[in-house]
Amino acid sequence: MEISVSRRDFLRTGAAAGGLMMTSSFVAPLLGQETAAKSKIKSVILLFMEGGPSQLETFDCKPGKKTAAPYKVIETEVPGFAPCEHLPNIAKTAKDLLLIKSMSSREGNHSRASYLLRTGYIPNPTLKHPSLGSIVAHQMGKADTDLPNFVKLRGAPFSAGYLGVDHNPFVINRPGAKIENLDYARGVDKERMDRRMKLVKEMEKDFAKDHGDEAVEAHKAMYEKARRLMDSPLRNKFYLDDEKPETRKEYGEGQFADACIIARRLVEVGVPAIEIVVGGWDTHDDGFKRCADLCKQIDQPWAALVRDLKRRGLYDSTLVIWMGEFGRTPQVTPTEGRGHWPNNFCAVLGGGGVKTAQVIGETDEAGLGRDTGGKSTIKDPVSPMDLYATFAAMMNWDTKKEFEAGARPVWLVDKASKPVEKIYK
Amino acid sequence: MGRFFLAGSGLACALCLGLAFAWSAQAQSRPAKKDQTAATPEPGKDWRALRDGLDSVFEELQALNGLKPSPTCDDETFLRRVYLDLLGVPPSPAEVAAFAPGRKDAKGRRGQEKREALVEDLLRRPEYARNFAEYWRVQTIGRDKGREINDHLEQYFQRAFAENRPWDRVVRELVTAAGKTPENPEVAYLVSFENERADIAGTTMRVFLGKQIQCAQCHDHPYEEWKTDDFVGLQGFFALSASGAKGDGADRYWFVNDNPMPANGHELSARLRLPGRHKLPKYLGGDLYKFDRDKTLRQSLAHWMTDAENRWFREMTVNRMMAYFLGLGFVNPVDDFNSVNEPSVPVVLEVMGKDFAAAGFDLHYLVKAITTSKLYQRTAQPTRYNRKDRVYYSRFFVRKQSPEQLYRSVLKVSGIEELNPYQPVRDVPDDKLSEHEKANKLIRDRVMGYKNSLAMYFRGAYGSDEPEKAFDDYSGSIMQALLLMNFPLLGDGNLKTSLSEILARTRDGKTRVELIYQTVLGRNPTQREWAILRGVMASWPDNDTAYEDLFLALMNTTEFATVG
Repeated sequence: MEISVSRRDFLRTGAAAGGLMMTSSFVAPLLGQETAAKSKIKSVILLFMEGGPSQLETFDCKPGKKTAAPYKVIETEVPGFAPCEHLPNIAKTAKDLLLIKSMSSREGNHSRASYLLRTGYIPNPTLKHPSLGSIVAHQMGKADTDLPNFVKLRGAPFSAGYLGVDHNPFVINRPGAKIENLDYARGVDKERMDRRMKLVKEMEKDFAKDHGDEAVEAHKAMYEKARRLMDSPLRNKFYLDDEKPETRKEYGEGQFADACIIARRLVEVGVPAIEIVVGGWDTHDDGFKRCADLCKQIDQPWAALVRDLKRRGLYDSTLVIWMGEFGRTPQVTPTEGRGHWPNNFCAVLGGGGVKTAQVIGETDEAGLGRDTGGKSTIKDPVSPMDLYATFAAMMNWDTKKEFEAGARPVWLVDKASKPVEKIYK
Repeated sequence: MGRFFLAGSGLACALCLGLAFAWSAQAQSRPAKKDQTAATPEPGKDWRALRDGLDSVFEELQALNGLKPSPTCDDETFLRRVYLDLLGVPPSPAEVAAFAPGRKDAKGRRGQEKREALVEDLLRRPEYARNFAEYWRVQTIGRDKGREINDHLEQYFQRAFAENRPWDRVVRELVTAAGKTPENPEVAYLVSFENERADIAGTTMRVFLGKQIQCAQCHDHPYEEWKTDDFVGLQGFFALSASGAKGDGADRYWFVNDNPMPANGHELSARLRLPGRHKLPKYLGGDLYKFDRDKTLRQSLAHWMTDAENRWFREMTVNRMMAYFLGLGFVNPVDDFNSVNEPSVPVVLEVMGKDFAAAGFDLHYLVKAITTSKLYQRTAQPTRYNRKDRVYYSRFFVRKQSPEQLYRSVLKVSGIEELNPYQPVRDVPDDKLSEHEKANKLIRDRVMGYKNSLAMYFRGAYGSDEPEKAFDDYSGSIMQALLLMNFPLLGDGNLKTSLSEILARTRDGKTRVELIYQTVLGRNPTQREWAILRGVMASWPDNDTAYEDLFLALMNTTEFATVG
């Protein structure tokens, strides 16, 4: 039943967007929909906060404590969900979100922890794991599409590792701006490119004959996908020109706001994996001010994204994740900053399949996460591996399948991990 | 020897038949003495003997497995292949002409003799040192450690490869590096790990010895005897060292320091407090570390690693070079030697390893043996007999160029850097520059702009962390195709390019096409290509854009993007 709703919704939206061309390539999979099994999640939007967002300046404030930020908190209709005063719009969407206060790992180095939170695995130089978006693209993406299955808005092009370059992210460095190398170079048009590629095709026949056809076939497939994207009417989904001014206003200004609108546009046409990166959370100095600014930067667009997806009937089929690589120390440095703190940090989930309007986990009053004897005081700790196991359960990933990375077997999620059942329906 | 198994009935048969294998005796015994028969060359003295042995064994193995090898490739194919592999770039038209494909060269050499001379010549070129510096930087620290760390490490490697420093010495220098940049650029290797001892130990074992122990970080190794304790014991060798960075901007430098060695083993173990059973650092595989106050812990490790008796070290290096040049190692993936991943032909790897060690770990020696072998000179064209061969090198395996190779290839083929030389620009405001200096500065800015954006797009299109490809994985991402199709590879028309030079040089269409082919693909068009060109280009506009389209079309072929 869910399917027919989202299809109707899609068609309506498509029509509203003004004579959007309905090429069979993207309508067919939406109508078919026999893949992806039982999960109703069709798309995932990861909002990745790079640098280690402070739990104490966002969702696990300790008002009144000596080491707390000079912020007020906003109580919401969800007990325990009390974000800082710089997240007022998110406070209003509390019942559409689930807050995990007890994310916990042992990785306190940026690159190692980012790897862990992006892949669900501890880094291992012998093996390259795919990041969340690549896994989603692999599990839920369609082979026959105009748009890439994994679009990353800002950030480094984290490769899909053993899943292969087909599932690499398509990276847009400046959301909303002209995308690099997507348009024909100056003086070149479709006709001229066709001419060149026709010659390439002719030449390739000889090469295939003399060198075996595997390389040529792979090369051809890559170029066909690239040209299909270049010439697709759907590429306007990467831009905001036809977005209504009211919508632009609702999301607010800035690259993150633009990226959130693009994410929603991509979800509308069935792109399964989107990641938006927000940097600057490594607040060793001047943390109170910087975190306030960062919160203001994300608050309005993120809340607007939730509302917008709901309005369009897409929130139930879209999983929205907010997280970073670790939290920050309860102690404040002399420069009003905080160090790295993987011991306890926050993640926020919303949308498809999430049991929203609840808070998972709790930290002690001081936010230290352990008592004087070194014993953990975190209630219901959630490891990044368990979080990935939870994603897997929510989206019915094939976690039994053995992949080959080099000569050894590997699985989409760590075999020792367990889904946190309280999180999902 | 006891640990070797004879993999594949082919080899077992070959040995039963009493192969004419110049140094089969060597595999069993100590190095041959000088007074032995002239037919048995002294190990490590003659790379041609090593090569001939390699060729004859594989000829037998191919025959035994019914694999009719593909023929020897022509001069043009060999030239481009060996240029890309050794120098990281294709040959220019002048370099093609100097090699005189299919004919005698200026010194009257042809065939095998001419090819051997070419290899010897290329090994002396600075591009060889640069190419291998780039390759080894990627192998050791990857692509995402930042420009300065990359540059320091490449600078070290470049000097080492330019003088063909013995490989054991290079590895010792990396593992024992101490001091600071820029005087000791080799510290960049250790610095890159940011004091993560598990990563240092894991990467050092994997890259130089082909042993993957990092799984033992969390649990006992699934296939091997390594236990978590072994891994911890190995990390102990790095426990007295620390690395870091100091200073800002242009004054920034990176360093590695060693704490002084304790007075005795007891103090050392008290100092390291290694968990588990091992109180002292531990070599992999059971060799015992003996306390030596005159060596730092890293020096002890480096000596153990690079000892001529350490089979892992010599065989890993041989295996990697075989895979680098032939697309396939004896062990694959190249850096994963373990008990369920035995070498395809163990005895050959063993003999080659010993020969390489006896040659003083001379990389040129090994490279010459491989690149002048018959295996390396096969065409890639599959025959009906060898299409499925993935073991015996009965044909050449086409390989994707690495992002570094492809970037250099584009840069060389476009000609933009080479054809637009500029002088250093004085660091003064523009209005203080003479007209001549202003013009010079404009050229510099344009060339730098082109190079920087090309490099940036390559980084973006390939991903800094893309793993090494299996030899038969040719797939690429959309972003790579977009880059080659839509980036103005020949600049914005304001600079001289290979193409503008060609168009200025001649108005003759046939010559232009030939020069374009030579520039982009290092060869002339074939008869069939001429026929295709006449057919396809007949409908093209009759002006210079046609040649531009041909040039760029060739840069978008599989041939351009691969080593074949």
